[in-house]
Amino acid sequence: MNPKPAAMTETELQSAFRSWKDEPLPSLPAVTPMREQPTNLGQAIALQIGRGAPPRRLRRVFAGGFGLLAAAAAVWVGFWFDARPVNRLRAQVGGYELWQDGVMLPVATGTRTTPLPHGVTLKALPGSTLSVEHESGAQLDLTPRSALRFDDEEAVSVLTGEVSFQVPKLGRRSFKVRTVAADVVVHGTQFVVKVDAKQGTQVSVFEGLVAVQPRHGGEPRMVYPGQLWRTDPVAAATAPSAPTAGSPPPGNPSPQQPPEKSGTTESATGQGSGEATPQPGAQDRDRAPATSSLGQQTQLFSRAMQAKEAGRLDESLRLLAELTRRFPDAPLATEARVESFRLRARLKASSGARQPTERDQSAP
Amino acid sequence: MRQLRIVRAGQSADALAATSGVSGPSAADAPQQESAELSDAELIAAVRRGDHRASSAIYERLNAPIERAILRVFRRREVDHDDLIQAAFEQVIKTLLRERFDGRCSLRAWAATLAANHALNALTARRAQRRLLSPEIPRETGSGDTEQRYAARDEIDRVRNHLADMERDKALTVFLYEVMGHDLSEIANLMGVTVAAAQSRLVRGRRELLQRLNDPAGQRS
Repeated sequence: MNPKPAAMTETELQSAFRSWKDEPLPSLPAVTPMREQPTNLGQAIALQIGRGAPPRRLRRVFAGGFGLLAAAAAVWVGFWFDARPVNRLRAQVGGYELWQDGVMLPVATGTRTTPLPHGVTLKALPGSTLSVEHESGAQLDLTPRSALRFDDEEAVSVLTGEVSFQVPKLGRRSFKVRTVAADVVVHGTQFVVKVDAKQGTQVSVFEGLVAVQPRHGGEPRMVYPGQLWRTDPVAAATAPSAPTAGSPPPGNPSPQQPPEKSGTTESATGQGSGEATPQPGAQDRDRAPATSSLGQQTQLFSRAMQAKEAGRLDESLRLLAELTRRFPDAPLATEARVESFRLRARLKASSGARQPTERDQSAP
Repeated sequence: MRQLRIVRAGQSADALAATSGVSGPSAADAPQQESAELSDAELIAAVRRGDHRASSAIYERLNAPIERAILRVFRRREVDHDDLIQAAFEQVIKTLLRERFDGRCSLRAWAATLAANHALNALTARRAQRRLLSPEIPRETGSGDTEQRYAARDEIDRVRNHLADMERDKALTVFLYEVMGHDLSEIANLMGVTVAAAQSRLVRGRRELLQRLNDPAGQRS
């Protein structure tokens, strides 16, 4: 049986302390500079320092003795500050970088939610996709090589790449997306903003309504579901103001042209002549058919994605194949080919026998 | 934002801390030499300004002493070792931001003290949880050298566990003096009390610890 621990004398206690003090510690890993090896700990430190001093305790702040009313007001304000939502990186596939004032902050890979303070730029590394919950409640999804800066509680800036936004109904508040070429203001919608050095800025709307204000002049445009607004950064940088909708630039489809043709032409040419090219403008909305070329593309793609989420991979592949067949040069066709590739890989993994048929169907 | 100026620290308390194992030279300190060139005062000022460039320097300077202090308390690398370190770092930065560090001792030694305090708190909570969920079963006795080694380890565990159950000020004073090797004046600076108060805590702490160790009701570990 196990005896009870014996009584300990002063000398024995001293001896135990000495043994404890001299006990070898487990070896410590070398401290690598955070710039070389970012860690969760380094990121936590950087963010805590960036947040500044935490609010002092009430008993210290009100040590001089304010009234109950002031205390109650402060409690309310304290709760409000503590309850303020923050931007958070909710999910990630692959790596990312955080930048602030031209300095890269230490980041770490992992599944823990990472707070993203104002002024920080989040950059998705090649092959990485990121999902962010904005403090306004909006859901932001970054594709590989995208960069997004968190300006304030109601605005973000897409610096490069493609970011999709799912903004809940905000009531009187609004949510603003800035790019080098335009500001996009929304009150609750689903849309995608794409910023590319070659293709300029594109705004595609899936649901709701967004207002696009060109940065280099021009009238604000309303973009409706199924429509796409795009501009050319070269023209945006050189031309101080974009033409109005009534005087479309040469080579670009006129808003009065049939939408089917204009959408296709715009997609085929890719850049047009470098002017803001709303498809179609607010004043043309009544004239546009219910489903334009872009609308059809969007519908096909959306249905394909819905089918994919529902597990109907065959149907999703068929819809994507139809999209690439009917609109081979459309921007969404590229996405459709990528999705088809992924779906075929999934199908191949689940049942190899089905793959030849799928490939035949979805080949553009 | 202002660029951080690099100066030589030359803190005398660092040498004392090094002898106590708080920040002794080792392979883990190699990159630390680089960041040690930033003075404590400048580093603290950068942290208080919210200069995120200070995060790298503070991490490189304090990681080793904080980790050592936690390892010294727990005597092994616990499963939540990284969480303990992160929590200790958060405590350190929070205290710096609230301007409660008066700079009377070196930043390393002070951070190690905070980490030791945090580790003792964690140990107390862990022991309370363990007692609640699964009472500890005494180890079977062996023979020869193995038995002696186990006995020595058990003695340290007994002392440590009773320390964790004691009033924190007294326990931390005894720990800093007996295990970390600080003298009374350093402990007074680290804990922000007078030397006389530190000495009183040490004497009372040792007396209480012996009582606990020799009290049959206290022999729970």
